[in-house]
Amino acid sequence: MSPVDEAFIPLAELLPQLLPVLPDLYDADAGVRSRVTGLDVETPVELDIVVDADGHVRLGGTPPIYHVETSTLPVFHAIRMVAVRDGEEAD
Amino acid sequence: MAAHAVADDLGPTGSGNAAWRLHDLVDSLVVELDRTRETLAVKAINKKLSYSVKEVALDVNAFPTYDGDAVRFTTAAPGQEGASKLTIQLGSVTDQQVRATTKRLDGEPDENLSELDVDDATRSKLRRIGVSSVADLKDLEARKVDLKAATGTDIDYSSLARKINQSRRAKAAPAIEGVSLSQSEGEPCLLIEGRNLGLDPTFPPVAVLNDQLAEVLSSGPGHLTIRLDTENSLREENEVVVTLDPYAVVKVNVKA
Repeated sequence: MSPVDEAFIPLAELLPQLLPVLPDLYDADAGVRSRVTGLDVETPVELDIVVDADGHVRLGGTPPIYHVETSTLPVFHAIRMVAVRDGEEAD
Repeated sequence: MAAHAVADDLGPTGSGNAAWRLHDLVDSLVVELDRTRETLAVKAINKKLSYSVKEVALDVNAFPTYDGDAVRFTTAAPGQEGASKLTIQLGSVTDQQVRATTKRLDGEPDENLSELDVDDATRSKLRRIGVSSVADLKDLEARKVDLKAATGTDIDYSSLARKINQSRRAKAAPAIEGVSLSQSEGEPCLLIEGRNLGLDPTFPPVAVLNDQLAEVLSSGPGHLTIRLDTENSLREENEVVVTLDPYAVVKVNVKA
């Protein structure tokens, strides 16, 4: 099995990290409580798409690694994820 | 584009920028998404605040190529311009949707076309019209679909059935484990024992002993008895040829 480049992590590890766990916002003075019911995250990603000898594909990804503009920029793919808080219904 | 050509030449070796097929990429993405859901489900046990992934979309910049058989994609490399953007969107499905769009499993596993000894060109043409298993083929035949017209080739059900039966027989090839003299209803006979001998109940085996047709008294998966009489008596060295079915012929040399 050919490994994914070590600078990249499997998408299954990357995706949960794109979901921040934000606590409910509570303003006692105003008497208002706000809660995040869903997240829609879209980010550019660099991808490492590795093909095994038997044709199976493995995906590694990472948010942009370098934040310096260079003459040859990496290829930025994109990933979008919609998540809803458990107990809430998606639109 | 020169760099692109070099990338293609690396091939699917797991090194470099190898070309991939779209369904392999989607398979991989589905697996990653399933793992993500499992991770979040575990997380939900420990943390009250948790999320469920409803939708994931991946945009991939890639160059499509067609090699005459299949479309493959090479991921765009830094510095390459003009790549196509593929957007793969995966949403959640309910168990009802899964049931509505999935083939019913009827006990025995369906025979995948890739496991059968059908040539690549035929398999590829069948895949293009959505046939990936023997059950798909049976379904089309039941609906009287003209395969020749649908695939634009000379593929027909009888030639496919022949290839499939040939392939099945090759998987259950006959094996002879012993030959001995025996008696059946007081008459001498040759008893051939082994595995996968008489498998087709619609085709009684045909035996030839020393170039003479001989009567097969009984047959089954594990045995075969051949009548020996004055016309078919054993010599010092004998050749027994048995056609077990249209796809299996065995020849045994027997020394008396």
